Amino acid sequence: MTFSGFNLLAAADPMDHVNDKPLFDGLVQKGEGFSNWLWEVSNHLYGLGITKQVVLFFIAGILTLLFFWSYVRQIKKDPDGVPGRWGNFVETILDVLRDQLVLPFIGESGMKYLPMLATFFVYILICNLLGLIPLLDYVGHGGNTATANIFITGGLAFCAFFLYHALGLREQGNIFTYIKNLFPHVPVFILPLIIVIELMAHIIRPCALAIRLMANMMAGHVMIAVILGFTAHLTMDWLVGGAVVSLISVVAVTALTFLELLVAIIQAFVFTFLTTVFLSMAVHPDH
Amino acid sequence: MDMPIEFLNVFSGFLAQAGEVAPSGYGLYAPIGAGLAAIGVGLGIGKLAASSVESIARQPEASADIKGAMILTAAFIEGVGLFAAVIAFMSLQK
Repeated sequence: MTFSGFNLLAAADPMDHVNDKPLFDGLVQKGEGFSNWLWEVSNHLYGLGITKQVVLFFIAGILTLLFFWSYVRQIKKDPDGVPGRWGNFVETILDVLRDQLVLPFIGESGMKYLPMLATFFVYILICNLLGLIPLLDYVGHGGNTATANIFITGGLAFCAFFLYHALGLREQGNIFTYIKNLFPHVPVFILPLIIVIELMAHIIRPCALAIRLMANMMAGHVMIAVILGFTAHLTMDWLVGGAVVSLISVVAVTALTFLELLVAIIQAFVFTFLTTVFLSMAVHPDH
Repeated sequence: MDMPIEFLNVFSGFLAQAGEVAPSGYGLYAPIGAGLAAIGVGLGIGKLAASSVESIARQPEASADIKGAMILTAAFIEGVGLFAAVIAFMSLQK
C-alpha cells in the first residue's frame, strides 16, 4: 500500500488543513490491489457528496449513541441505584445542563427538553474533540473537524431552529398566538419597524449559531497549521534557523492546542446555551 | 559564516514567495477588514476582563459565578470577531 500521507504534513496552503476532502484523499492512490479499491470507494462516496468530514460526523453520531447507551441501560434497569464510573461522568454533564441551562431559563416544565439539549451538547462536543486528534488529519489530507464545515454546522443550526419553533408551536397551541407572541407588544405606530427588525433577528439567529461554531473550529486549526508551516518552509532553506523557529513554533502550537481544547468545550456549551435561550423565548414568551 | 547575508537571502526568498500569493486587486481589503474587527474584539474582551477581575477582587466569594460568566461572554465576543475572519477567509478562497 503506497503511503504518501507523510509528504502532506507540510501542505502549501494552511486552508488545506480544514477544507473538505474525499475520504482517503492523500493516503491511497490509483494503483493496484487494496489501495486501488480504497481509492475507488472514497471517490465514489465523494461523488455522492460524502466527504471525510461527513463520515466523521456519522462516526460522531455513533459515538454519541455509545456515550449514553450504557448509562441509560443501567438507569432503566435500576432507577434508584448508584451509577457506576461512566454513569457518574454522564450525570455530571447532565447536572450542569440541568442546573445552569434548563432550570434558570425554562423552569420545571423544561425538564422534558433536557434530552434534546443534552444530545446537541454531546454531539457537538464529540465532533469538536474528534477534530483535535492529530494523526486523524493524515488519513487523507486534512479536514478532520466535522464542525469546521459550514454545511454541517448549518444543518445543526437548522435542526435547532426547527426544533425550537416546533416546540414553541406545540406549547402555545394556536399558530396565531405564536406569531403574535413572536413580536413584543409595542404601540401601533412603530409596529412595522419592530416587525422588520424582529423578522431579521429570527432569521439571523440560527445563521449566527452556525457561523460561530464553524468559525471557532476553523480558525483554531488554521492558526495551528500556519504556525507549524513556518517550520516547514524555513527548514527547507536554512536548517539552523529552521531548528530555532521549529522549537518556538512547537511551544506555541502546544499552547494553542490547549486553547483549542477549551474552545471546543466552550463552543459546544455556547450552542446549547443559545438553543436553550431561544427555546425559552419560544415556549414562555412572557419571560 | 556569512550568516547575516545568508539570513537576508533566505528572508528575501520568503518575501518573494509571499509576493506570489499576495492577494491582488480588491483581495487586499478583506484581511484589512478582519484586522479592524480584531481591534473591536480586543477592546471588548479587555473591558470584560477588566471588570470581571475587579469584581472578583471586590467579592471573592462570587468568583466561581464570575468566572463562568466571563468565559461564556468571552466566547460570544470572540464569535463576533471570528465572523469577520471567516468572511476574510472566504473572500481569499475565491
